[in-house]
Amino acid sequence: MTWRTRFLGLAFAILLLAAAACGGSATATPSGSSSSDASSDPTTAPPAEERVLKVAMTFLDEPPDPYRAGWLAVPTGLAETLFKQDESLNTVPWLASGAVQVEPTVWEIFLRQGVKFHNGALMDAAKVKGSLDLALLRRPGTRLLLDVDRVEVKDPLTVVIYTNSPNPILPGLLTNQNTSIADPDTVPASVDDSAEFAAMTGPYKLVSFTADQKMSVVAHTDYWQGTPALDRVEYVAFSQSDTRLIALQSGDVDISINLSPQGAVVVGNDSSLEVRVAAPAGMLFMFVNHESPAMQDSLVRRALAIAVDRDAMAAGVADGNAIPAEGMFPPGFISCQNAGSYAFDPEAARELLAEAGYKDEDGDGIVEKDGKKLELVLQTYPEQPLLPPMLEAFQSMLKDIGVAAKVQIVEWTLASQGGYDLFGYSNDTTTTGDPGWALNRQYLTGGDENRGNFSNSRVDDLIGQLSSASDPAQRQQIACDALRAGQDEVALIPVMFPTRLFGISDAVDWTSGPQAARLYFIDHLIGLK
Amino acid sequence: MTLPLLLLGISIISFMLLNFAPGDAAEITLMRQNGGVAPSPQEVVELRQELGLNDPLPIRYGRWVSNAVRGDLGESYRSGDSIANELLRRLPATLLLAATALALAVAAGIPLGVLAAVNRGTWLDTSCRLLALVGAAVPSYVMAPVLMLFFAVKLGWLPAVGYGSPKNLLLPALALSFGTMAQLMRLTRASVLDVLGQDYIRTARAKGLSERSVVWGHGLKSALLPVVTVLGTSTGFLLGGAVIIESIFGWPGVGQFVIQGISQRDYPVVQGFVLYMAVAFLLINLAVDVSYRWLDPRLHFGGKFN
Amino acid sequence: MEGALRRRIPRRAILHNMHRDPGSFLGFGIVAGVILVAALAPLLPLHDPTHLDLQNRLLSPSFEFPLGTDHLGRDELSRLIFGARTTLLMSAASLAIIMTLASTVGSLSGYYGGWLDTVLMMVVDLMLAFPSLILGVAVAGILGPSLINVMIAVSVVWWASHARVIRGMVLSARNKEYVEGARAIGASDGRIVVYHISRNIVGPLVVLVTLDMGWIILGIAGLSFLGLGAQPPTPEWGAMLNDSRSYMQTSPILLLAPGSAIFLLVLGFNLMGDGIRDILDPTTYR
Repeated sequence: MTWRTRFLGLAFAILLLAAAACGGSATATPSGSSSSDASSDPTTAPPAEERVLKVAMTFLDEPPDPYRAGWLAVPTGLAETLFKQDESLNTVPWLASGAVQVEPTVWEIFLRQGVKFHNGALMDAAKVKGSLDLALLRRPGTRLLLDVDRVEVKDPLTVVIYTNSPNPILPGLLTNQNTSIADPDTVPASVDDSAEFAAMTGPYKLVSFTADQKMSVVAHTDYWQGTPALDRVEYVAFSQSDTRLIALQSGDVDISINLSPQGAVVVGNDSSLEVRVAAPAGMLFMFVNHESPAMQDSLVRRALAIAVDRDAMAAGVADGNAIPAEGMFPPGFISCQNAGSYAFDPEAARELLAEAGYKDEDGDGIVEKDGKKLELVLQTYPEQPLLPPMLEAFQSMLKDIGVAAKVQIVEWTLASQGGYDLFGYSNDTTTTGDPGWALNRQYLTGGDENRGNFSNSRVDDLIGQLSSASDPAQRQQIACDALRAGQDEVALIPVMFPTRLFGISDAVDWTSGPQAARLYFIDHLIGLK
Repeated sequence: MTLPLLLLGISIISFMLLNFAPGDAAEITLMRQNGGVAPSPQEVVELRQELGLNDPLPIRYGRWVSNAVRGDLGESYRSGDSIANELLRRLPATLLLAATALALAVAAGIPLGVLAAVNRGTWLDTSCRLLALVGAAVPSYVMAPVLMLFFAVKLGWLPAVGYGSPKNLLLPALALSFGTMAQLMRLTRASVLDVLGQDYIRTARAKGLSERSVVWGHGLKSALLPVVTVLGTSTGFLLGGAVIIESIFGWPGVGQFVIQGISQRDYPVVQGFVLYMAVAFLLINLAVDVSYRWLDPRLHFGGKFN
Repeated sequence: MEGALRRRIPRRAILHNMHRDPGSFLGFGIVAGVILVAALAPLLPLHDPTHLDLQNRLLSPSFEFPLGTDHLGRDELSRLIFGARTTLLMSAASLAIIMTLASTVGSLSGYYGGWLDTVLMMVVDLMLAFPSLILGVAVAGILGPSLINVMIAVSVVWWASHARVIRGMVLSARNKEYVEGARAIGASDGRIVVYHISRNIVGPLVVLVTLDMGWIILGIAGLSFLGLGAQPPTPEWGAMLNDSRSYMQTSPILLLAPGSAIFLLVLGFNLMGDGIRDILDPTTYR
């Protein structure tokens, strides 16, 4: 190699380092699909006494597109839906003022007056129709969810939705954040372009978004419920929960979400910080892989379900920040919430295994049948910090009843690909405020979240009956029957309902506190003292 | 060792990484598009055909290389975004971190090494060597949270996290620099001791030059030679160590990107990252070779001095 | 000292050196101690390191649990000691693989030279072109999380630089008089390499191996820390460090125990390596 080549190499390396030094000190926002900036100069000095809240999130992976919202547009107060869930998880009007099911497949939705989008335009039926049409177009899953045929305008404040089959819970489905309302004229023409800068209706509007890093929003002064209590909110993302904790302690952020139970203890011990707790919105459970050979016998499945010491899990693994779960729904959500009780009983579990033909012949503590040991594969993913220790604890509980198990930490999408016996998972079950939603997703053959391929005709029948029942009492009854039927077959194994932990500094004025439904976080009321 | 051959080899290895990765590219891409629901076998077959996944290996390799040369490293399984764009966007942050850590290591390690060598046998020497051993043996991921708790939470001198101002840079760079600082200190000390015993140093002393001129003038230049080599390999360690530090501090660099890619089984990201890093590392080693020549004109042969 | 078939190290040199440099003695003691405890672990009166007890989580050190219990109620001391077995075994296995690969390639390259040397060294240079930890993370990440895969990743990444060093040593040893002498007697190539050359390079090689144990241990622990290594419930120091992060502020001993253990072991190997080098090469002041 010649001198010249080496010299060029050195010059290049120096240039690279120089670019790094210069590029690193400014906030890097080159054009690209994952980073965007609406204002021309994001680094203008803030006016004096600006009220800025800093929040630490777990993820900021996808931009807050109102139609492909991931987990961002509604919780951060950017977008709103026609209906929302209240503290008791019932569906109540939000951007809509009410709704009437005029026929089994026809709903009339009445809109609120005087709601202004971020660009100042007024919300009316035409814009709502346009927005819903775009929602159905841009994300096929929304079409499936709502089962909508078409949307029409009746008058400037009334929209009519025609569904394909009778749908008694449409308003509940309209709490789904992929049905957020945005000004259709501000949505990009191409379906592949993100709509995060579309004009939405929430108390805050997007200024800039840098994936996996930070997001900046400013107050929407014309917000329909009044001027927001803050001028700006800055979000940062740290996937590690202890980084979120330390950021709160050092004052780099004012609020940290998703604290670990130990994090809550540390925050509790700090006099300048406070812990806020929100009721559980879903469950930590294990998918049963109904195609795995070991799981074919219902006696074995039942033995596993009653081998879980749920009290120890809630008190131990979750440090008391969880409620034991024998059914899919948290307390108060449904009258029969712990139907099909899986009371902890290792003795009975051992008997069930014996009944299924499993005995410990060679005295090594593990049972066998036809010479083959009962060894299970347990998988889970690390992003929900309670799941790996939950599975480790279960591994030990299984050993007590004579079952060997291997724990593997893998990626969450592997839950749909078999190759395991049990898969630790976390899912919300209270979205839309109606049990039918979760039953459809988890129990129905081919359901979205039925990753273990559970299939039972009786359960399918019962869930089918739900779609035509509109009387709430009747819906509860059918839902309970379906739940019990699924539990008898051990469709999946619920373990606990985790509460959600927030750490806030004492500078934060959050009288409303975290809301029951996980979807709502920042509103126009949260502010600084 | 010719550059093009090396680059070829790097590209082959990077390409093979994705090939050995489990999981079907078409299936994973479809699953992402469906929001986590498994696609039908038919859809998978169709997409495989469309993506050209059934073509023989050399053709796929050729296609990948021609894309890579044009700056297209494929798309992430997870987000569908261009990997090259993302790496470029994040590279400054990582380089900044590694460069600062290197600067800190050099600024502390080399002077301390010289100090220890010149004062050989005294308590100063022993304490420096002890410090170096501690720095080398404590993993950065133990050092990092300790530093965060001490400087950010207890003392409140520095922000624990964040990105944008020099203050944010200090803690992560410090945590990253300890290992290299220790290594540089030991090496400098050994190297200076070596050189100080050489003939031409004795000659300089005999000529009546001051001790200071002897050490700093004659001794240092030659002593720095092996140090410069180590700088090259240290950069590799720093770039690697940055992966862990970025993950802990939430530093938005390529390390954080690849860790997320690994945990999400986003193998194209891992592959793109390896290629990028290898090329960057190669260039840096090149720079080291060049600066080697300048430091010691006595070396006039080609190839690596090893 | 040239021309001798074997170099002997006088015993008084060792003792003299230990007096002069107590550090190496300390290092040797640490390493020997850890290995001994790890080897004897199953015989010691320790709690089962995988036995969970959710009622007794995060206990402070006590007589029954000298280092307290971890987040799942397991005895931290026994996890530390059994973790030593895992860490040492994995590191030793990686080292064995690395040394085998490196020795084979380095010896062939250095002894025969020519086109074989050129080709092999090109492969080595290729491996050296990758920053080691990054390639290790990539390989382990792609192969999937398991201790075996971490071992493979570390070995794949580390053998190259040793191959170069061994090649250099073989190269210089090849031209020594004792090799010519052996050839004159009619010894075969293989015999020359295995019997004569290796005996003379074993010294520097031991130094290399000892110093690198430290890096390998850190590398394996680092990959385990990232979740790529030991899977639950296998105790391993890196994984224990990872688990301890959520409890760092409330139960710092869970961080300090494995952290200090790693530090001590790496320190021990470094001191030992330095000491051995001093013994073998007393002409240099180090």
